[in-house]
Amino acid sequence: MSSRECLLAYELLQEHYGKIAADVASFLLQNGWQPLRYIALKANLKLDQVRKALCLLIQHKLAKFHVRKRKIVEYAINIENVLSILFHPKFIYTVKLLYGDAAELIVEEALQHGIILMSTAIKNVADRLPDENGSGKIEKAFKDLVQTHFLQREPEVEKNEEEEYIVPIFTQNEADLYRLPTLSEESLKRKRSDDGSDEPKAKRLKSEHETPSVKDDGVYWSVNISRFQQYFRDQSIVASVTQRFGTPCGEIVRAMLRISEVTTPANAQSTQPISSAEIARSLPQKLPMEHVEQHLKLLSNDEDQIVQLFDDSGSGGLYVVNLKNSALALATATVLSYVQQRYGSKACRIFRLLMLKKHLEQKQVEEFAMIPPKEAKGYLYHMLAENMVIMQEVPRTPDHAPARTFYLYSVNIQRLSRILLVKCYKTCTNLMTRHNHLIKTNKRILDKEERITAIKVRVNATLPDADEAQLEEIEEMMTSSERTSLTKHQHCCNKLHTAQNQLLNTIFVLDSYLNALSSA
Amino acid sequence: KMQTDVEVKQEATIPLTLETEILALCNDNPKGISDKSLESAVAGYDVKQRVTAINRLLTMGKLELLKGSSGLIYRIKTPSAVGSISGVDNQEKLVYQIIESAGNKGIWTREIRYKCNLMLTEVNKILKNLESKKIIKAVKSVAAAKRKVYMLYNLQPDRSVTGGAWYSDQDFESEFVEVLNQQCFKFLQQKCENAEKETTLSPTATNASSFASSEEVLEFISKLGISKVTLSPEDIETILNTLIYDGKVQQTVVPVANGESKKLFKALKPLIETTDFARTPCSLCPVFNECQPGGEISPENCLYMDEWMEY
Ligand code: SF4
Repeated sequence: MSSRECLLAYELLQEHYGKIAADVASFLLQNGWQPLRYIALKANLKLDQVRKALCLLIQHKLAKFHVRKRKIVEYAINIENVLSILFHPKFIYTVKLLYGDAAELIVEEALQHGIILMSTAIKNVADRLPDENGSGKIEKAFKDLVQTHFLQREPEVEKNEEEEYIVPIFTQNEADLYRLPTLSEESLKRKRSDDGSDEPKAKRLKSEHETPSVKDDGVYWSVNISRFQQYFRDQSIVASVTQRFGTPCGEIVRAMLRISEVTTPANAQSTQPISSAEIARSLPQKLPMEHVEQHLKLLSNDEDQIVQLFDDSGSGGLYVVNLKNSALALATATVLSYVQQRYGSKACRIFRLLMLKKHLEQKQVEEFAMIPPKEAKGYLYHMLAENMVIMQEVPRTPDHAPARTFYLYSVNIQRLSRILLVKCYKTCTNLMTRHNHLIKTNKRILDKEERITAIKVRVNATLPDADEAQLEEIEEMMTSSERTSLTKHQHCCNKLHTAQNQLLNTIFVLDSYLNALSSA
Repeated sequence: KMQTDVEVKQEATIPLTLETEILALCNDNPKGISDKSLESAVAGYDVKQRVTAINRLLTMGKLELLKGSSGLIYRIKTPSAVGSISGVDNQEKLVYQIIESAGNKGIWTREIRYKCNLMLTEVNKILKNLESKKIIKAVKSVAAAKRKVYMLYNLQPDRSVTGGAWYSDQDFESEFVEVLNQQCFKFLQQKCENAEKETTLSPTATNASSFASSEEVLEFISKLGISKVTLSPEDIETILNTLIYDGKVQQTVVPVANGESKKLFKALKPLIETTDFARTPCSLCPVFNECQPGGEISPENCLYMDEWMEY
């Protein structure tokens, strides 16, 4: 793991879970599995602080533990989960779009707690949505989220009498991952009076024994990160197919992805095979059957092979969306777009040429790309200096004389995706740093604005018929120059925020490609 | 010998270009060309100029006059007939033959010397002599920078020597290539758009009519009149290939009659227009690696960010 990722992880943890948690995590990121005492000693923290930090991290599934030599408990960090904190706002927003406000708040609660009881989540959301009468609607939203796998059930603590283990053992049936408990009114009520869901897992063992009668107890839920990733992945595939082949093809691919949404595991190579008839049936805007078939045929002839013919024995044939090819195609397009932006279109031609022909000498590059020698050399050297292309020396004679050596250029998309991903992470850190810096610089004005808002709220509440003049007077506590800098501050924050959000798309595309590689 | 030298010096430029033109015409018509067609082909000159030029070419042994079915025809004289040229001695003949055998690919001085075993000064003298008599010519070769190769005067240099359509005087015309690259793309793009406008077409038909052959592209380019040289379909394919490397064009091969196949081209849209990463100032930053939070170059004091946040 690169130090860039560590830095970003540190920033994210500090922002969301405080400095001590960030310090503990960053120590673990640098040193791998470590026991509690050693962390406290080396990171110069109190034992209790470390314990609390670890509890917090474990509850949010950001840290994990195991037992070494049957007696030492060691801890480590789940870096993927830490980095996915970046995506939390996106998770929340997506769910809002798909299932509405109640679902949005449920996911927000789940992210805030790490793991949460269904009853707790429903109760908290009900408190925050006073307009929704009763928890029926919220409960339905919760169930929707589970049925579409955006929420998943946490493994349960295995009850063992022998006390032989020093850490709790968790078990889970795969079939139970999305099985809902039946909530009795009683369990909902009980939750209303007792809100002890913040206890970390390790401590939960005891309470389990005390109240075994409540069905909801011990059944915790968390946000299913990979399901969200799958959703984002599907969206980016549809977007790029639409971009290249137009809306009808985009809709066809969207339909295919949706049909196999819940049945295809997150790391599968392709979706399940789907017949053209089934695709035609699930299109929102009906197309003639033979058009659907023709689109599918054209899609499957594309060299990126996002859609593939699985079996053409039946009428119309069976098609799949090849997720691995899609990931590669999107990552490649991302790398190429970066090369184009940074080095210009002729450099990009050279780059793609190297992609297509694998290994070329400079002279061949000039000839194929039809770029004058001096210029081509410039591009190659610039990209070589920044690690975008690779040069290999292949000596024809044992003396390695330059005149008798081939210098072969090539590119490696996998390596570049990695490099680019790290660059994105660093950029993310930069944007966050700048944002924090802005807030620090404008602290005085921001505080003042907050005070004025508070006063306004109070005036509105106590003097419902305060006249214009009074309100204006309050407004004028802020000078016009202060107001300008406030507007400017907000503009800058928006800009940083938008950029960071957009950056997530790139991070996402590159990350899923690298994951697809490692899972194969 | 002296006499011809003097003559050459006395030549004005008009007859010279006329001579070259006539030779080129005869080269293009190896079976010979009638006086009539010759006359109309070089209509820009008067009779006297034409007659002088032809006579000179005949005396120099470059042309021969034959009786054809429909009157007299001029034909290019086969080079081996050089023996008959007056004032050429044996050494010159030897050098001539070496150059002749090199064909339109030409031959370097060094190789001539190696083959004829003469002194460099001698070879140079002979070459100069033959050159001034317009029996041979020197052509700059693109293959070996700045080196000249020799070939018979009336030959069209091979592509490997001139570099083909993309070179003028041994210089690669990269602007010309880029203009063609853009125009070819424009044509294919237009073709796609037109196909998409035809809403009655099926997806397969739309796709099929988005493709164009290199001949079609060539026709478009020729009509534009942007090329001074005549381009071949192969030249256009070289350009279309650069578009493939640009990722803007795709190619497919379709079978045509009697087992042969044909390449067709179509404009291709990218999967991702611009990566979102490129929207941040850091993605294009020259000091990206040096930048550290809290460092000398840092996001806190970054001017690129200032500028970018402005608008
Ligand atoms: S913050 Fe500024 S200096 Fe640092 S990488 Fe980004 S653009 Fe460059």
